Amino acid sequence: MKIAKTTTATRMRRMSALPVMILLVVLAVALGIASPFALSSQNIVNILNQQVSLILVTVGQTMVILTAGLDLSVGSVVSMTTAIVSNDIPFAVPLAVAAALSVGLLNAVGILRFGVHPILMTLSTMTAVQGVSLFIRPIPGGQVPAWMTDYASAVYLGLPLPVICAAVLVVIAGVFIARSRFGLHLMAIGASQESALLGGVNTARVILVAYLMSSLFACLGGLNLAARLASGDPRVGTSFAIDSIAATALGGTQLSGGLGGVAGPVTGVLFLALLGNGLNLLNISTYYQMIIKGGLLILAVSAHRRKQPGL
Amino acid sequence: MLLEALDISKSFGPVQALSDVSLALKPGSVHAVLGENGAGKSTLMKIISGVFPPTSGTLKIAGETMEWSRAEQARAAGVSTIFQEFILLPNLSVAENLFLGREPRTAVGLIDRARMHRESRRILESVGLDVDPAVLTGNLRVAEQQMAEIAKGVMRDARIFVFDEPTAALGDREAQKLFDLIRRLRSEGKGILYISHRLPELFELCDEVTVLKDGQMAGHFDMKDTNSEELVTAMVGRSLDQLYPPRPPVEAAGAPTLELRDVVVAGLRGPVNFSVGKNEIVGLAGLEGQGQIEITRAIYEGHTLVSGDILFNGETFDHSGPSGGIGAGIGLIPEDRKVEGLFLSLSVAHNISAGLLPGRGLATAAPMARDRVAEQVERLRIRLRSVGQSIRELSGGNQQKALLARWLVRGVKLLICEEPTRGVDIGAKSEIYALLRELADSGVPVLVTSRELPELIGLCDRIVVVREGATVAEFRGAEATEEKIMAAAIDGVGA
Repeated sequence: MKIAKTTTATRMRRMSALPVMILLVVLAVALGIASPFALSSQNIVNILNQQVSLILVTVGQTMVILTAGLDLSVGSVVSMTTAIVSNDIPFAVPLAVAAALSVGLLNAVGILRFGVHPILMTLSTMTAVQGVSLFIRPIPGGQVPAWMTDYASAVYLGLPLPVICAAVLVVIAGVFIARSRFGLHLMAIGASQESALLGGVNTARVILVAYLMSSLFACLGGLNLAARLASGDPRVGTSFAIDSIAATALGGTQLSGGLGGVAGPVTGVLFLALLGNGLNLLNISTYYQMIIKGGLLILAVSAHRRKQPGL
Repeated sequence: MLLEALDISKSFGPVQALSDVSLALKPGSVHAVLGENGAGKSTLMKIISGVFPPTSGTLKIAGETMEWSRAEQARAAGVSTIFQEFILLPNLSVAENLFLGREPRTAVGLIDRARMHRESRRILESVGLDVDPAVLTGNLRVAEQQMAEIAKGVMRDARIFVFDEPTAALGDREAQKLFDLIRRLRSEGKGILYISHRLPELFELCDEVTVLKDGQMAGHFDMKDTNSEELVTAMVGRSLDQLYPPRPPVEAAGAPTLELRDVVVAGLRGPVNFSVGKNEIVGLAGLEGQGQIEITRAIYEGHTLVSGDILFNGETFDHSGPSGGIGAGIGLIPEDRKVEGLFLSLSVAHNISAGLLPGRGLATAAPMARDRVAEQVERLRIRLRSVGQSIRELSGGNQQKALLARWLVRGVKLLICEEPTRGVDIGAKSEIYALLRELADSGVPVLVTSRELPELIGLCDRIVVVREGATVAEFRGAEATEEKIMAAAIDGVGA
């Protein structure tokens, strides 16, 4: 009781990322022992570079989840973005950003204005946007602007440019969520939308911005992916919704909203990636990998169960 | 006048919640708003706090007519409401709650926590709350959260404070502390609107009182010129001594319907010995948490029974779970109505006909005895729009009657009623008492537990006192006094 009484809100939010960080360290050590290559800088840089898109999507997803929402449409937005920018048209990138933001706007309007449950609303846009992607680019292919492929292959100080960009964005988003009014209001809404409104939060605006940010980050993830693939693929983002949600939950940001941050979910992405990579290095079949991942996810998330009031 | 509400009316669809209610709040005064549940108190408070607008009527603050529809505007106009339910956000720190929506910012636009904590500390000190502003609000006690909520109002320079049953979750000492704070706000010239059922505290605290009944003004009094009888009469429309139905004369005891012999319940010391006769209402009294609920559950559910006999009409029955008790003909109205009793998201009809479900297979159709439900609704005078209405919308008293109806459609032979009138207003209380008495007279005995001794004394034929899980004394209802019961409950000695 005495300990609980002195728990500060900031500390509680920071602590939410701790379990997954410990898990990541444990996993890294275990893999390092099992396979020396696993912790080589080449392998780690490689994993980071592969995960840039999912990390970006997860950052956006986290903002929505903090409000106790869920954005299932992120995967389709990733696909749509690659489909748009792989066409040789002027202003392809601004167009892709605008398209993504309109998905976010649509989600927010459906949820706020028409009271559709976030899962249903984003499930609907997920389906519709998937259709749009297939309409734009029925089969994988096309070509992205040269500057994008240049970006994907650029290396500074031994780190790929996409990794540096993602790191910068993650830090900015992290600081923003932990220390800005927007971040605080996300968490207030996550605990109780009604109380937040009565308490002085412009809930509609904050929720709108959260969904816009989620779509925007999904779009950034899509741009990065298109740059890496140097082409478009209408189905490339399919697993992103589930993966980003899994990573967020694993990262200690609770799906019921109100508690969490960016560090945990990003660590969650890295944990799942390192796990997959390690199991590959150990030559374990993909089928077993999936079973192990599923089981570990349940274990990790159930370890997060909280006894705090209202959480 | 700090606040004037003139001819406020509010309707929700066909339901007229308030009609032509007026109220004037003077600066430096505490104004009580008294009324039964469903009398329109909360609706009026919500209109004043800007949660929703009135259908008609005007609100003036310091003489200025208000046009508002949102809490933010109400606060801007200087009204701070301490709601019963929407308390502070538990996952935010105290300081974050205080400053929510108006956080101080640093040069780069991030929250200036140092300044926020500094200012919070000063404000918390001014209301006499000694907590670190950085701690998680959810870890504070309810009383402390209320203080923090008041601090929020003080911080926002509110001139009007609205308290919606603030003492409902407080102990005596905490309540006294709250009263001190309210008196201080009054001395600083603030206006306080104070909603409560609890008459004694109104006399202690308030200057004047407006009584509402069925959404209408039922009176306005100066506190010093009135007394509880007058207020209750205004509130209920009848006087208090008619609250309890008359007790029938003591009859020669026949074979008891329910008998507990040397019963020991898991986790309690025991033994429990008492019986309930065919036409009796028997009460289990005692200090809080002495095993009253455990005993009633042992009768109903059985599986916590360690040793001893629970006999129903002289025979043992299945003690493997609630189906045993139900099978024997026992019904239970649990103490926590919303969690354990009702299916809040279902209709009144579903909730009542749920009484017919036990004992039916999963594949059989759910029974929907419309006529029997309608019959009970009429018999118990449950006030509703239609039986298809969600039970959530009913007042506490009507919800409680619906639970009673659930067992009546089934036709129970013994009813256990834990806290029969918790969260129920006075008018519905007296109806529920009368119904329980009617049941007992018709041969369905009732076993009651209650935290309120006057209720047990007024209602029961016999009162059994429980202490540390054992029965220690028994009184005839007519002979029982609070002193005798308390003596037995504390010392374990019977009279």
